[in-house]
Amino acid sequence: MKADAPILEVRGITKRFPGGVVALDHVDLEIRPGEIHAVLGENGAGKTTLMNILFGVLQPDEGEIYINGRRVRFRSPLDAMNMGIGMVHQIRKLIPAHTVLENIILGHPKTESIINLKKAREEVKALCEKYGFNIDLDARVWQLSAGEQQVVEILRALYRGAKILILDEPTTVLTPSEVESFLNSMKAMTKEEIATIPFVTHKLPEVFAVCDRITVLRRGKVVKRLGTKEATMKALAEYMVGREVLFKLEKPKVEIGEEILRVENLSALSDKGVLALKGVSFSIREGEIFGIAGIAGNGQQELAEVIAGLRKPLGGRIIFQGRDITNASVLERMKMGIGYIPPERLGVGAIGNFSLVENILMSIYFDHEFSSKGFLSYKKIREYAKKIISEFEVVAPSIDTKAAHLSGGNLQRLILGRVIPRTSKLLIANSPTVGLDIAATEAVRNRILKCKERGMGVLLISEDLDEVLELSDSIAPIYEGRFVRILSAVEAKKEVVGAMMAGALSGGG
Amino acid sequence: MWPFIIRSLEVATILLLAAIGELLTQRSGIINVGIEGLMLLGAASGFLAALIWGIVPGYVVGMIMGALFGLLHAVLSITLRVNQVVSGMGIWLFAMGFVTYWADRYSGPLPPGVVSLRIYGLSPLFFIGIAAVFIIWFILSKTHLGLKIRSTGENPFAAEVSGVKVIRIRYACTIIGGALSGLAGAFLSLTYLGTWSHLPTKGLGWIAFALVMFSLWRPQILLGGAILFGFVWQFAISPESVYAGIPAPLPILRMLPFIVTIVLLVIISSERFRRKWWLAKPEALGVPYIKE
Repeated sequence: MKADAPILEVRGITKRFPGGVVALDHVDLEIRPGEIHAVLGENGAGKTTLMNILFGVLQPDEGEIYINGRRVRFRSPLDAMNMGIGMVHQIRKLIPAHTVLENIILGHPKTESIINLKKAREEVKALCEKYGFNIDLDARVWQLSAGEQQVVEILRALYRGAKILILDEPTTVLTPSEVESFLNSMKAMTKEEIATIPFVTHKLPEVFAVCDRITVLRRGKVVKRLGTKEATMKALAEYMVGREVLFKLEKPKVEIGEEILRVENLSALSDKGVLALKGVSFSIREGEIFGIAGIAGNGQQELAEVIAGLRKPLGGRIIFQGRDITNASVLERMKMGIGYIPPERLGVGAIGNFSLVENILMSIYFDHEFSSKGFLSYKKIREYAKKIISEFEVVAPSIDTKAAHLSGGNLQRLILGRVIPRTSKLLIANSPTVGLDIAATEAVRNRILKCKERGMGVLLISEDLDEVLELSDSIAPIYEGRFVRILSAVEAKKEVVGAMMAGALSGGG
Repeated sequence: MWPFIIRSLEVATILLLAAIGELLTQRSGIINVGIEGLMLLGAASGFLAALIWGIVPGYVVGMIMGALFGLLHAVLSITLRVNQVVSGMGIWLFAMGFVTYWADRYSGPLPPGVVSLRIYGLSPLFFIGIAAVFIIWFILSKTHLGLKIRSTGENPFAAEVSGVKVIRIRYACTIIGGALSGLAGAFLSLTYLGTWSHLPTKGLGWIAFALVMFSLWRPQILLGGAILFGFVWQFAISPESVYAGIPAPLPILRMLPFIVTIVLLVIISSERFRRKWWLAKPEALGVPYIKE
């Protein structure tokens, strides 16, 4: 049914960066009108560079881009937009303080000098109806969920008349029900001959379900081009990583021991002063992974911070090995064997301007092995840091490299290396694999399972439902500050937990 | 009483012009802490120009001087990405030294022939100041250009991908802001004081700067704040013109309006009113824009 003449053709695109890094090496890509064409690749495969070139942010060193058979050169995103290319960024390029409508009409050539909001509203509404988007045009963007913000970016591109839509990790932030409506909208766009190009690292299966063809990038080269029908999940992951990937992790058989942590009716305020955690009770035993599945902003962040000692609870108690630690300091908790892996790797997890040694030092400075009478023993500290870095496979030029220069995966390895060896009883891991590629994700999950093997209790918080289901012994979907239910791994079905996360099911039934 | 009101409205005019310019600059994401300096430069150059050419060229020269130093701040903070606070401070310090050296030898009143225009005792610049507030309010809230300016101040990256020329808008807003501060300075030395004395601004620029923040970046609130502060300032200078005969120590009387004003403005900028009136602090204020 689809016309065979490509709407977008990329030939021999090569991009080198200073320092001799070849980000893209003679990449070819061919997109037909109305096609859904996924580009897969690990972090560092060159996806971002390719997207930036297609959208005019970067200029290629070699190679040509053709649109409808005509050669084009993009000097800026504006050029790309004028040629009918739209971009949906993963890091949203939206203005949180402005309304949805203002964001959509901003900078549009059609927008009048004195804005006629009524006319613009009607036009955008028509677009929403056509593609099945449901969004309040007068809401401020900061009030929207990550999925709704994505819709705003798509609408902005469509309002500009985009015929080719580049989507950066479109499904990562969506809830299961949002994924479904998103995929439906993508199909609706197909009918209007709008080609969509999702760039994907995580969450392969969802995109897999709708796309027509797939191009796999690895280290700047196209390693495979194939139709969806010929592909399997396992094969795709292998093309991406370049080796066999174990999708099923080996869950160690561990005896579940005594209770380590008991949380009673815990509540807490968010940064904005709103009641975010509304009375949560649960317990974690030795060797147990307790998984909390929920969309960000449902109180799980506050819960993790309260248990780690970073946030004062409003009410409730935290009992750790029989002791009430509700008011204990972070340092006291660390010394008791509680470790915390925060979702914000730079900023909370590590200090970007500090070297790897200094970052590791932050979690051992109080230990008498490394300091006496207030003086630090840098020799011992450096030895320890070297040991940690090799043990946790952090790839870095030296231990004096600044943490900010590490890739996401290496940074997380560093943080794990800081926290896990000092943690003996309870590990709190909040979104430990968010934004990581397959290889790093695998490494992090295996570390968490090793903690379990050592008999530690683990509190795992994640937006990634598959991750929670795969690793946890008990699963608690969290919605608006409350656990919907606490399920055992055996009884937790993906569809049910997904619906609970989205608030569709209440706990009672 | 009438002369007191007129004088107060003149102070309000000074604050209004400088603050609405700074509001526009800040709405585009550039913070210029050097308004006091821009006002000094505008005051001195305007005064010297008026000695030669008369009152209106005095205003114009003051404005041009302000625009030039606004441009300097723009080059430093937008193109060279100097820390904006440091750049603004630098302009202020430079202005203090330079203006002292340049204009203090002409200390004294304007010659009798150089007189400001008056409409019912008020300077036309008072009305121009009020008009400027309304024009800037209208541009910011009703026009596409205003949406672009606000977007630039909120998130320049988002603005750029929508085809907004971020650098150009920031330059324009910083220069216009500088010009208005320069005009405010010229109005101070030519109309309000009518004489040159050592560093005549005496902190008015800083009050204008504070007004922008107290106004929650809204022109309407800024207008009220500037008039209120105008009266307070004038009252602090000559409380006897209002309170004649009240048996209270002068320092206390002079302090009272300031205390009242600060309390009032703290209340306005409190959480409750921020929620109600929607705090509009530009998210990218003071953050240099570096293209990817």
